[in-house]
Amino acid sequence: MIEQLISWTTAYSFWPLVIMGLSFGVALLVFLIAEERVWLRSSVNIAAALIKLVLVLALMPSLLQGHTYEFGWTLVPGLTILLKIDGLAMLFLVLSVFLWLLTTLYAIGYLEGGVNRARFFGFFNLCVSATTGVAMAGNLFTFIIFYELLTLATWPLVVHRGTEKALQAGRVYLLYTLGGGLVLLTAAIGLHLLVGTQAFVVGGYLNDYWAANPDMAPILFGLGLVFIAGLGVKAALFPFHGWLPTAMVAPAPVSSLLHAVAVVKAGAFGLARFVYEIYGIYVFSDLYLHWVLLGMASFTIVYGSVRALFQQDIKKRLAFSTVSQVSYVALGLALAGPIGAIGGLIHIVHQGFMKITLFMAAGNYAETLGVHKIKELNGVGRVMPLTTLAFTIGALGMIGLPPLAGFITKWYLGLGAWESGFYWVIGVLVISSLLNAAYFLPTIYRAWFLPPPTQWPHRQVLSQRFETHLLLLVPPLVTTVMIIVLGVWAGHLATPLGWVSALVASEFE
Amino acid sequence: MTVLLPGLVLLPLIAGGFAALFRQQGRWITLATGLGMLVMLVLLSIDAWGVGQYQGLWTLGGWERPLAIAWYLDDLAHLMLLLVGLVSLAIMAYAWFDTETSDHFWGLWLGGWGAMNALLLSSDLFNIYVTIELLGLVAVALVALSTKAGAAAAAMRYLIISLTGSMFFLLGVALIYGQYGRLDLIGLAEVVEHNWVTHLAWSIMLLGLLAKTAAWPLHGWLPLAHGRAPTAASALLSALVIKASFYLMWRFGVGPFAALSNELIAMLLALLGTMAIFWGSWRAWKTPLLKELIAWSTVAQIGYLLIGLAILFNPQSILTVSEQFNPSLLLFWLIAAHALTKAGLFLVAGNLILLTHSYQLKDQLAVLCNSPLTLWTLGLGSVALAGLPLTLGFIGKWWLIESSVALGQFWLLAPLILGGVFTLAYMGRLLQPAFEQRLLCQYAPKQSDGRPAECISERQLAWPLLAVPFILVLSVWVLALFPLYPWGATL
Repeated sequence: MIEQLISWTTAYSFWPLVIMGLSFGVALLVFLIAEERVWLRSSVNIAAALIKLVLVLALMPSLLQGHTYEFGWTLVPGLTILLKIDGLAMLFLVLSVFLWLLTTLYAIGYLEGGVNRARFFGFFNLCVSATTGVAMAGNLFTFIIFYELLTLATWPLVVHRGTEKALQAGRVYLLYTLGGGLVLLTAAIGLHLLVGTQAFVVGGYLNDYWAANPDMAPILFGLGLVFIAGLGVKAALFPFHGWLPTAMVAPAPVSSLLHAVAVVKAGAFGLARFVYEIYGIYVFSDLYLHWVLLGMASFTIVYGSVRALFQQDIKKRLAFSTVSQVSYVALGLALAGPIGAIGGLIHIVHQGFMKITLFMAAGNYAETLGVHKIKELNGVGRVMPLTTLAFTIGALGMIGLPPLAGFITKWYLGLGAWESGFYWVIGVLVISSLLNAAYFLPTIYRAWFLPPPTQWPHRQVLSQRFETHLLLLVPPLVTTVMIIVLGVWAGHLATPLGWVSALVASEFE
Repeated sequence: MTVLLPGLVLLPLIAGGFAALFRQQGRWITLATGLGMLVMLVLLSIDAWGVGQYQGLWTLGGWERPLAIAWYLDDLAHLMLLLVGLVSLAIMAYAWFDTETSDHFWGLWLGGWGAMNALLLSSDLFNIYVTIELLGLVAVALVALSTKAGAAAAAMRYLIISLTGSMFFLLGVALIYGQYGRLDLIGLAEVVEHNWVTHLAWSIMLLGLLAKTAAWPLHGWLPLAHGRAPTAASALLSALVIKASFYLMWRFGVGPFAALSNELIAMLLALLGTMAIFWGSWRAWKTPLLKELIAWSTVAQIGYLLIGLAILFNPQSILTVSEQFNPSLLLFWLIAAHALTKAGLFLVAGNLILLTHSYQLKDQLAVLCNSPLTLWTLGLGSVALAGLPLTLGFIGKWWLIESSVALGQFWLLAPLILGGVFTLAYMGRLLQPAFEQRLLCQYAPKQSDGRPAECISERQLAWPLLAVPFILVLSVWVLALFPLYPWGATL
């Protein structure tokens, strides 16, 4: 049966276009559905997410056999929109499509009875499309198009509540991300001058140029810095992370989307494309750019954790935790060795599942009990045990407790640091884990063991049978199970770890 | 079949005369003329992309040059004819449903359309002078149709600039005639020499045309005229009329006077363009009036065109890669992108003014919040105006960026890239408040007598008033996928 599937999917090369068209088509459709037709909109949303998931999964077996899918459209000579599904794209695609399905369910429950839902879900779908585009972009030009589109499509979601605070956060968000986009564009133009805009290729496309022009080292190094800065804004590398905690005013599904799937991951994913498939890992490390990235990532990891320690607001604490955790991806890339690379790339997936769980749980607390502050969490585990269980597993995963997903990341990063001879990075990992524990464990203790208050800040009865609305409860529980599964069965070939190991093997050949 | 080119010029001119005489029937005459023009444009395009029998030089009545009225049709002229035709038709469709359209409008613009087509086709300096003068007078009259306070003063100022510009142009033409005894562009290209008379003639012609294009620092009349004209007139003026004089600079600069261009003039134009982008954007950011915002945006966008002109005029530019495809024609897409987007935006502004009876931006924001299609038009229009990838403006900008870099003019990247950000910033003044919850109808504060506040939304307008601008703006996105189509090439 698998054989049949492979022969059927490989018979066509238009799959990237189909996935893209489906995303944009649905976004358009959702915008057109009248505000009050909730059921129709929800069904379209869920159906589209399911179809996309099936489609992406159906392409997986053929990719395992080394097949890739490409679709190109030349605008003018030298300017081609290229969509490509390869191993790296697949990693991000599966993550985004799967988490999107869950976030859609969650958002439907979360926004029940809210205003402007047509607009919200329209832009929500536009975000999926842009993220899909970022994943499938086959050259720098295409990547930048979708990278910018993601910025523009996310902004309406950040300001969705329409309060002065939300609009202010929206301005900050745009300032950072559009600025980063400009920097990235400048870098892309610079690179275009040197070698033209070529398709991303395993091993990078600068190898020949670098071998022929060793005297260009300062320029290539400078360009590399500009690339890191441009991509670092979305990846929330210090000092470009300022937008992320501010954007916390957005509704919970948006926060989980920004932090787990779309925006920060687009930055991290872009860094991976840049390191492996534009510069290539050998040119990257020959230029000592990995030292720069390593320094930035290490500092951001510690800095984010320290800042998280001092936040009193649940979502703010999670935001700074994201700043810290996303840098693990950059750290893995910067170690410039295969084992570290596995740790970094796998964290794109692992961080996604863990952070989305935490944000959904935080959203549940806010919606059901009106709890927004850490100190209001006392005894919340007795009222909302399942949500708190999800929160706990997510937090323990972040700390890196075996056998959860986060442990796998830290294990590979630690081994990678050892392998590459950056022994001090192990110290960074240890400090970061300790800090993670310092800001998560007291919270968990509070939630389970301290007595609940006599009155919750703003309690709502969202369900008769469950602790909260069913659509708010199921998605975080699913991701919780995934955190455990990804950790326990990490050695199995069909997990992201197996996928990433195969990817890394090809990049380091 | 030989009636096609004369038809494109004479039909609107004659119909315009009739429409001016029989004002009550103006719109019906326009409808018939518009359909006729559409048919002729389609026939011309079928020919241009197939047989090509109209391409090249045409003389009326079989007279030999230099005596005859000679017309020259090439890719650029053909595309401009199409652009002018389609945008005119769209704006006229809007004007048909706009309750405030004056009866005088129809005859005037039919005349303007004819003059514009004649200008695009003419290959003789004196004929060009006649057409540009005619077009200028039509444009001034269109502004003067407005009943808005200050419109008469704006029209007067526009008239003076327009006439002065034409005078400069005519003076240049006279000098050229005195020097070479001929005015046809093709013949001139063969005989033009380097001498101070020719340089002087070309310089004052350029000066006149720059003033008519509203190039910085000769732009002062534009925000007044375009900001105060009636809706359809503003759209036509911003989208098409200023492009006519720009087209002439392009034509002359790479045609008869190509030998005169040097790096100094290219540098000067690039500087003017840069200043236009910065100054126009800044004023658009500050103005409290909606239509002035859009008009200042035009001043900024002309900056891009001037930078394009600077590249065309730079003797070191490589303008032709292969016989099939001339990359500088991508500059046409910048003109088209601006024409389509700006027409759409001015029509949207017209809608908002119809609804609120106010020219103040702050009064119009509440309507925007409750009008999804209008908001989408503005949103797509803003991104298109900023020239982000996937829009037509980007194709033109890409040529500018590649050429600036190829010429070693790296500093031009700053205005070219920052201009897009500025555009998003000043258009954001319209878009951002649309997300403010307090402006939504269901949240509006109650009136003093306790009744719910009056909710104004786009639903009160006839649907074509909403559809026309939306289609105009959308076309900028759709066309961006096929930028090489007019040249029949995909690679």
